[in-house]
Amino acid sequence: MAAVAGALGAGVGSVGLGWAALVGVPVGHALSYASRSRPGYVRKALLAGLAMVAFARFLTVAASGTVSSHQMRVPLGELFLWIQLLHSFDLPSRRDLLFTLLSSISLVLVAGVLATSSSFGFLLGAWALGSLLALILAHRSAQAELPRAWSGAARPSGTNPPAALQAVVAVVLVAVWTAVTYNLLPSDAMRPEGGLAARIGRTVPVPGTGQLSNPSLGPGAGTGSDASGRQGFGYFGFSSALDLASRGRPDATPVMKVRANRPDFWRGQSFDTWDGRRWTRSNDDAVPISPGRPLEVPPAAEDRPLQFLGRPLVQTYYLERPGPNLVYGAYRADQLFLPFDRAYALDDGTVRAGVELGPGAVYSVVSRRPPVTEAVLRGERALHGFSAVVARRPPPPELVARYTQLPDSTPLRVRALAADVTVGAATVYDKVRALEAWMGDHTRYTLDVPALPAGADAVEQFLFVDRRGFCEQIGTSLVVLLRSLGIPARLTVGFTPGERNPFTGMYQVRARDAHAWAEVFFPGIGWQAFDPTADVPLAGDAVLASSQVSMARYVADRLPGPADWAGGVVALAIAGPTVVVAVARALAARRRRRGRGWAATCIDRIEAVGARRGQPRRPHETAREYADSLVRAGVVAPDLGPVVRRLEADLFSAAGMGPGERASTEEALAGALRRPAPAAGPPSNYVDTG
Amino acid sequence: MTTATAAAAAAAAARFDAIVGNVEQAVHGSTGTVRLALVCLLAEGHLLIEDIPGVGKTTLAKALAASLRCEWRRIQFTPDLLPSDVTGVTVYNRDRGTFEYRPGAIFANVVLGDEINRASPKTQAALLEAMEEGQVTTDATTYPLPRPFMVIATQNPVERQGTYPLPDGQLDRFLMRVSMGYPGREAEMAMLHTHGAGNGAADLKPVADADDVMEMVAHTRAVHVAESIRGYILDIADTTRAAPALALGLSPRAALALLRAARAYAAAAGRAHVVPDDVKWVAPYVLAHRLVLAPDARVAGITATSVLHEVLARVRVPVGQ
Repeated sequence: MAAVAGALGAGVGSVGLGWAALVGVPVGHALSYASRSRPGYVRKALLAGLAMVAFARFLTVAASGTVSSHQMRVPLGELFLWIQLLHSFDLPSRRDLLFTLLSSISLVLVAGVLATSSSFGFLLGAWALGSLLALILAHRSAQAELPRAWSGAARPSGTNPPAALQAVVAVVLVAVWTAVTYNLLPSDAMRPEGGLAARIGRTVPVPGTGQLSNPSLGPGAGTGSDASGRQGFGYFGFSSALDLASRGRPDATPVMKVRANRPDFWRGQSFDTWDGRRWTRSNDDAVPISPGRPLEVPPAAEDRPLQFLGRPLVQTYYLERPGPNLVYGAYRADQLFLPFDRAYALDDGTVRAGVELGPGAVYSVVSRRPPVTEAVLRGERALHGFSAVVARRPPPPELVARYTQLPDSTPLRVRALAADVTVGAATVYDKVRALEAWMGDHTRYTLDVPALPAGADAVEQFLFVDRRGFCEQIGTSLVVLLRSLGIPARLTVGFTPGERNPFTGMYQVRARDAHAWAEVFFPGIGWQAFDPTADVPLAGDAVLASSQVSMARYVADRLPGPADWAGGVVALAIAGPTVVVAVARALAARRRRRGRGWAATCIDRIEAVGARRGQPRRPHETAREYADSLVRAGVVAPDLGPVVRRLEADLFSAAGMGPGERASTEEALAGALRRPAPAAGPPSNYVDTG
Repeated sequence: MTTATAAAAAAAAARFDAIVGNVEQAVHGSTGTVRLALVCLLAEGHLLIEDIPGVGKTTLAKALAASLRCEWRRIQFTPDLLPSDVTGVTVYNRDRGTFEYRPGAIFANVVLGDEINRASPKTQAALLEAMEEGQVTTDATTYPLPRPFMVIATQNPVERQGTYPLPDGQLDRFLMRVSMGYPGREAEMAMLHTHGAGNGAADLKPVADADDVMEMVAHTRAVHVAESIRGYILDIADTTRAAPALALGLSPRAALALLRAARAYAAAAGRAHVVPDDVKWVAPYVLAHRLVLAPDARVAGITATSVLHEVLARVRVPVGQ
């Protein structure tokens, strides 16, 4: 059930199939339980036919060749949903339940692959618990079917360990096994083989060709000229201009989830032209990308030598809110798996979608990230033979001209500061580090920045007057300082990786993760992100904490503070054992009832009544002997004897009682178990001859 | 239980009770033993009656045989009895000039072997094949015995002089060993009345014939034994095998015998299924003579019956399937 819900939650199957499965599986289980003793050949044949139809559908889809191996998961999930649904109508015994369990593993796997939120974890937990219970019950009923052959006088009564203990042992074993399996699985298993996920809910084309559209900024916004009219949670950087007079930060609204094998900046767009207060783009020409699958992003002129360098970084973006039509991607996006054909490339390597990107849209980006290290950036080591040649050449003059542009109004003390701080720094990289270090020492990151006075230069105001700012001020200052030194740099906006959920392996990106940072050009290496503010690993020193540590951290971050701990511990100390005992008792009672049938339950009742009245049944007493001893002791009515004989007929004869006979027997039992009136005298000794 | 099987079970029980009632006209005060003897017949087993002289062993056997309209013979076992006296002998017929097989005393439906432990082991062994297989083989020819076939043997436990104790293997072939015990005062009084007037067992009118008995036997075979009951029987056997007071526990044949006897007992009670009480009730009679006590236990005065009671008190009774 949980597996079905999980698979549906992950978007497998149509709505109709979804409801059919959610409703049909419990109904099927109930039906097959009710009719478990009948052979039902017609039903079997019908189900087999339907299963064939489902399988044929699956084969048709698989054979059509229009879907990639990734997309096969969805039809596969549908097939297993069908099997689950059909099979639930014919489960005569526990052994068949095991098959259901097996096929539900496949469903859970498909769901796990497609799941995007950690709520899948709860379903997984529920599923694991359910299947564990089913396995234990199946094992116990299998045990009960074995003939009991006890050897040795030491254990003549052959007691099994209690169900609770067995359950605990099983849980521990499963946990150990899971941990071992989890740690043996390769964690960096994502490779751009076959197709990658892409899906879109609605396709509303953006008017024009490749213009920026950002509904999250509200109507009338998006020009960037004035941030005061901003509404909603959108980031003002995702517009045609970035005004450093804007204040206020986006909130914690979840924007998207990103599945990626490494964290990186999710770039949106870049700005190259600075006028002292705002950033704009000098070239907003969007070039349509020729259709194909995947879409090949034409590299920017300066990136061309690097086109095939570096390890692929696969990212899949699951959008959760309406946003700009920017197609995010780590530097440098190489291939796109988009659910639509209209996409436009810009000359800085970023991409815009030709349709609105709303909640539910999914696309994948394969970026190639050169293995850049500090030594490479310092020029001590080359990335590659060819890039070493490129690196020795000076950067193209038009690129230098475009990305060292500064307004004439740039204050002298800003230029002087850049020169002062970088004295003694030999390489571009060392200069960047020196500037970053100076800014780290002399400015503070804060969200509470005073308003920018009219006519003031935003960089001067930040570096010399306010000395505090957020990422736009910090990033802009770094770019301006570098440009004053003749180093090509630009401001890029996008998102920081967001918070990684170690259980789903996805990065949750919120509106407040929107970010601006500097990109510096290195000949032969390409654009390199530098960010004095964000806690983002730079290229080359990206070290992910081990998954166990990050899981522990993730959980610890969500646990209540120390003050709440005492209450929680007390509650747990009380609730934990209670729950365990309750579950164990329920299991034991269920085992007694289900495993042994109606008559045994009635005899249990007699035993319970007898025990309450001081006459517990001894293990070697037969039901009749016990009933007779109860009658002799005068704690029950004398007609208990005949009732027990009727119960025995149900227990031991080839054919049990009918429902009517059972009802009358239960009635007689209730009467017999009533405590006889003391005045009735000693009951007659019942002698059995029948 | 369907109505058909219930009716068949009730009919079998009624016939059973009729035979018991008939036998009781001659044998007084031993209802339990009479029932057990008939249960033995239903289970196609053989009965060993062991008791002191004069409590009616022979009368019981004769009354049982007389109540059934079928052939019965009596073999008085003496030290000089030869195997051929029991099984039969091939003799030369001078008139026809051929060898002819002359069946022995065992060719009958009910064979009363009186004081069986007085015969030599050789003669006792002659009974083995007949009891187990229901056939006799002499001179490489096999002759089937009539059916039903039942050996009722008696022996005296106290009379040791001049007796040959039955070997274990032969004891194992008796389904049950019972003893008569002294009748109660009233029963003894009744016996004095009837036996004073007539001959007792000889006056009995048969109340069933061989076909009736075979029908009851067939019905007994159809009695349902639940899996838990089989488990209970195996538990009992296993427990005896581990009992320290016993040199030898129960054989698989013993477990089988217990099952057959329990079935027959259930059929006699008019049931089409065995309940644990059936097993428990017949167990001492079916099992006690098959247990071999350890020497020190024998010295300590422990009896097979007391060990068996302990075993039954230790084995958990099945309640439920």
